[in-house]
Amino acid sequence: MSEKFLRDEKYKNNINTRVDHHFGDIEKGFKEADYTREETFIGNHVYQAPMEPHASIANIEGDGTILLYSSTQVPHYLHYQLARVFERPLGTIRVVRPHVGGGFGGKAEAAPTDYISICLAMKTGKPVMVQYSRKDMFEHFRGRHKQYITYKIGVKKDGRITAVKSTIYLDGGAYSSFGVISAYYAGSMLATLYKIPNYKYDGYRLYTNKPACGAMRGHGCPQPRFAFESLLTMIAEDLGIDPIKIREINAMDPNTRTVNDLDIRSCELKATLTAVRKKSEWNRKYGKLKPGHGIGIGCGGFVSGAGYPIYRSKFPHSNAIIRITEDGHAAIVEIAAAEIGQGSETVLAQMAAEGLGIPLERIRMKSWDSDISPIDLGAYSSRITLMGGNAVSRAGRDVVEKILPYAAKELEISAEDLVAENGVIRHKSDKKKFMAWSEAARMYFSENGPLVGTGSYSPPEGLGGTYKGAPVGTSPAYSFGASVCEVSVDLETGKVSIEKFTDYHDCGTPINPMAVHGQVEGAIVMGAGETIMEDTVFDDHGRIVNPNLHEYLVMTSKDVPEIFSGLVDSYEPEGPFGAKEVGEGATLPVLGAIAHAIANATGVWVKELPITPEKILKALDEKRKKDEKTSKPKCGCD
Amino acid sequence: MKIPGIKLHNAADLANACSLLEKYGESAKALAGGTDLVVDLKQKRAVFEHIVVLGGIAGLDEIKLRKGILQIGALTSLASLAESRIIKKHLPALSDAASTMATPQVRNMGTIGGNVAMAVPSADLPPTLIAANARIITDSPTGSRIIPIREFFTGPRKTVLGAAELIREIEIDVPPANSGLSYKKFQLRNSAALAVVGVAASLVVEDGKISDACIVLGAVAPTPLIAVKASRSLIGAKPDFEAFANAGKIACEEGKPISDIRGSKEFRCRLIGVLTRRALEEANGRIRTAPKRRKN
Repeated sequence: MSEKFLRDEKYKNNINTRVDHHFGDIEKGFKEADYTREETFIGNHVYQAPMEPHASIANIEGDGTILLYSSTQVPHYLHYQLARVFERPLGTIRVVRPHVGGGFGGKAEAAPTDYISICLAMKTGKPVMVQYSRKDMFEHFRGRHKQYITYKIGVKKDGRITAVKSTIYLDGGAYSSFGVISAYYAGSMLATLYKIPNYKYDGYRLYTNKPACGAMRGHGCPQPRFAFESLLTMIAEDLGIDPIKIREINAMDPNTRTVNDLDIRSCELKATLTAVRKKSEWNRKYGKLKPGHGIGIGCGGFVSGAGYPIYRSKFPHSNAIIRITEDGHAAIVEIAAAEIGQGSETVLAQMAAEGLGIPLERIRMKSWDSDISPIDLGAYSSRITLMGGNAVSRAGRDVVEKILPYAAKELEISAEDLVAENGVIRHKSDKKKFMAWSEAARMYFSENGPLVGTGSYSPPEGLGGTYKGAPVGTSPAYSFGASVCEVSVDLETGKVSIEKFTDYHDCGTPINPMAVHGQVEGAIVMGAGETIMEDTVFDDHGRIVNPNLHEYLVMTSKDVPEIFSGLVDSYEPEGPFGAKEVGEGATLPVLGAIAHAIANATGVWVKELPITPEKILKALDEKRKKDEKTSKPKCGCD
Repeated sequence: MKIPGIKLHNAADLANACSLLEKYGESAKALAGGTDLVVDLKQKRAVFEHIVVLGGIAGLDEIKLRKGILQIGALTSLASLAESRIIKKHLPALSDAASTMATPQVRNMGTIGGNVAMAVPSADLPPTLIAANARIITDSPTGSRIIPIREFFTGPRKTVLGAAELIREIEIDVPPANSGLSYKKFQLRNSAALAVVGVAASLVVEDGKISDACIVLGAVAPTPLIAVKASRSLIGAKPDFEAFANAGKIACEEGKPISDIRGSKEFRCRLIGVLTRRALEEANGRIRTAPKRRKN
C-alpha cells in the first residue's frame, strides 16, 4: 500500500483508535502462573446481510416539516443526526420507522439513503425514495471488523486464570462508524465471563481502504471471544483438565465487580455449564468419539443495554406513555422502541399488560412515529427488553396508581389492599371483592379527563470506572450462556457438518420463552455461518468480490443443525420482572464451540475464520508432516 | 425490479421461436426458466432487446421412456428431473445432480435445456449427461439435428448451437443393467451453492472386470472435461477401491482448475481425486448384475 494512500494526518499510521488498558498487574499474574500459552487468531469481515435493504422515503410536509420513513434500528439517533446535519430543531423533523426487515447492527446509524432522500425531496418538492441494492448494502457495510488477535493466558495447575494479555488490531475500513466503541468493546467484554485478576489489553483500530466496519450482533466481541474460548480450551487440554471444568473453575460469580470495574449482578454461568454438560451428554461423548466426529464447548454473554448513550445526554434511555381509551378498555402504549424483527413489540406489550394488570390483547403498541412516541434509544446493545421493559411497566404502574383510589372508593377497601390483575381490580387476599378494571378507568376519566401514565428508565448512575473508555462495556445487567456443539468433518474434503447445538442461556427471568428460543436459534445459525463460511472477500484494490447472497455465503435451512435451547433459573434485580438480554449474547458462545468441535473431530485447530474445508485440509497436512518428522527414529537417542 | 428496454415475444411453438431468433439475430435471446438470463439482464451482464419466451410451448416438459430411450423435453424443470420416477429408476445420478442444484424455487423454474445451453463450466447436469452419452436434439430454421453431447460444449458459455437453433429434447439410452453411474458434487453449503468440483462417473462391468468407464469433471475446466486417462486406467481392472483411488489420482492431473472465491486450484485438484473415487464407488454399487447371494 502506498504511503500516501488514505493517510489521515489526524491519525498517525492510520491508527484511528488506540486502547491501552491495564488492570491489576499482568507481570505478577504471569509469574504466578504454572502454565502459559500464547496464540494468534484472525477473524473475518462478516456482513449482517439483513433480508431487507436499507430504504428511506422523504417528503417535505406543507408546514415545512421533514417527514422521513427509514428502515432504521435507531430512530432517535437518526433523528438527532438529521437535526445536526440539516441544522434545524429536532421538532421540525418527523421520523417514522416502519417494520424493519432485520438490522443486526447494520442499520444502527443514519445512512446515506436518509440524507439523499431528504435532499432530493427538498430540491424537487416531491416525495423521494432511495433504496440500496444488495451490492450497495455490502459496500455501505458497517459489518464486523476483521480482527487480528493475540492472547496470552496464564493459569495455575488447577486451571485458575492468573493473567490475560490481549493485543488486537481491528481492520476498520475507511471511516469510523461505531469503530471507536468496537475497539473498546473488543477488550472490555472479555472480563465479564471469567474471574481474571490481571488483564492487559492493547487495541488498535486501523483505517484501511475498505468499506467502514461498525456494530454487528455482539459488537466487537465475537472474534475475541472465539479466540479466547479456543485458547482456554487448548490450555485445558494441554493440562488434562476437562474443558467444561476449566470454565466452571473460572466462572464469574453474581454480585462481582470485574477487574475492569464492570458490575455484575445476576450471573448463572455455572448453572448453564452444569446444564449443558448434562443435556449434551458431554461426559459420555467428549474424548470418546470416532475420528471425524467432534464435540466442543464455548461460553459467552453480553450487555443488557449499554450503560451510556452514544452521545452525551442526560435524559432517560427509554420513555413510555400509556394512554387508556376513554371506555377503559384498551391501552395505547407509546414508546419509540425499534421493532426490527426481534419481537420487541411483543415483549413490551406483555410487560405493559403486566404493569397495568389487564390482558395482553387489550394492548396496542405505537412505536414507529416520533410524533407519537417518546424517545427510546433504539434496537442496539440488546437493550430494549431491559430498558424499554422497565419504562412500559413503570408507565403501566403509573396508570394503576391513578385508578386505584377510584376502585378503593367503589369497593370500600383501602387502595393499599388492592391489586390490578387480568382486567380486574380486586382485594389482595379476598378474590370475591373486585370490580372491572375498565370501570375504574372510566371513573378516572369522568372526573379528570385523559387517563395517561408515564414511565422511563435510566441505567444506575455512575456505572463503570473512571479510566478512559470505562463507559464501554458498562450495563445494568449481563447475560451468560454456554453452548455445546457437535460436528462431523469429512476428513478427505474438509467439509464440516454442524450436527447439533445444545445451548443454555441465563437471560434472567424470560418474558417470552418462545421469543428467547427464537433468538438463540437465530444466533446459532448466524454464528455458525460466520464461523465456517461467511467472509467478505476483497480484491487487490479493496473492491468487494462477492457483494451478493450467492457468493457471500450465509447458512441455508439445509445447513442448520438440530438446536436445543434451554434456560436456567435466574432473576435480575435491575431488569423488568427479572429479565435480561438474549439477542446478542447468544451469538457469543457459538464460534468457540464450533472451533473446538472441529478441533476435536480433526485433531487440528484452525485459528483463522471462517474455518473453511480448505483451511482444515491445510491444517491436517501440516499436522501430518509434523507427525512424520517427530515419529522418525532419531539416531543416538535413548 | 423491472428490466428496461426489452420486448417479450411468446413463442407458439419451437419453429416459431427459431424464426423469431432468426429474425432478431444478435439482439434476441431465448428464455426458458430464466434463472440465469433474468439475473444477467438485471445485473446488466447481458443486454438483449428481444426475449423469446419458450415457457408457453406445449409438450416440451415431458420425461418419457420409449424403446429403451429416455426422452427428456428441453423445458423439463430441474425439480421434475429430481423427482421423476423414471429418472430415479433408470438414471438416478441425473436426479441426484438436479436435486443438488440451487434452491427449490430455482429448481421449479430452471430447465434441463437451459442448464445445458447456458454451458456454465460449473453446471451440474452436463457431466452426468456426458457420462451417459446423451444426445441433444435441436431444431432450427434449417432443420433438426442430433448432436452427441460430447461435441456440444466449446467453451465457457459457448456451444455448437447456431444463433437460431434451440434444444428440443435430450435423449439417453437407458444404461444396461451391468452398468452404473454416479454424480458427486462438492459445494460450500448444502443449498444454493455452485459446484466447487462435480464429478460424474460411469462404469460397465463384465465378468468381474471393468469393460468401460467414463469420468467427467465439472467446474475444473472451461467446459465439462472427460478425464480420458483416468477413465482408461480402469479398463480391465477389478472394480475395487484400489482401482478407483488410482483413477482418482490420475483424474487430479487431468483437471485444469483455476483458483477463485470458491476454492484454490490445489484444493480443487484434491477434491477431484476424492470425488472421482467416491463417484466410482457409488457407480459400482449401482450395478445390478452382480450375482445375487442367497439370503440365509
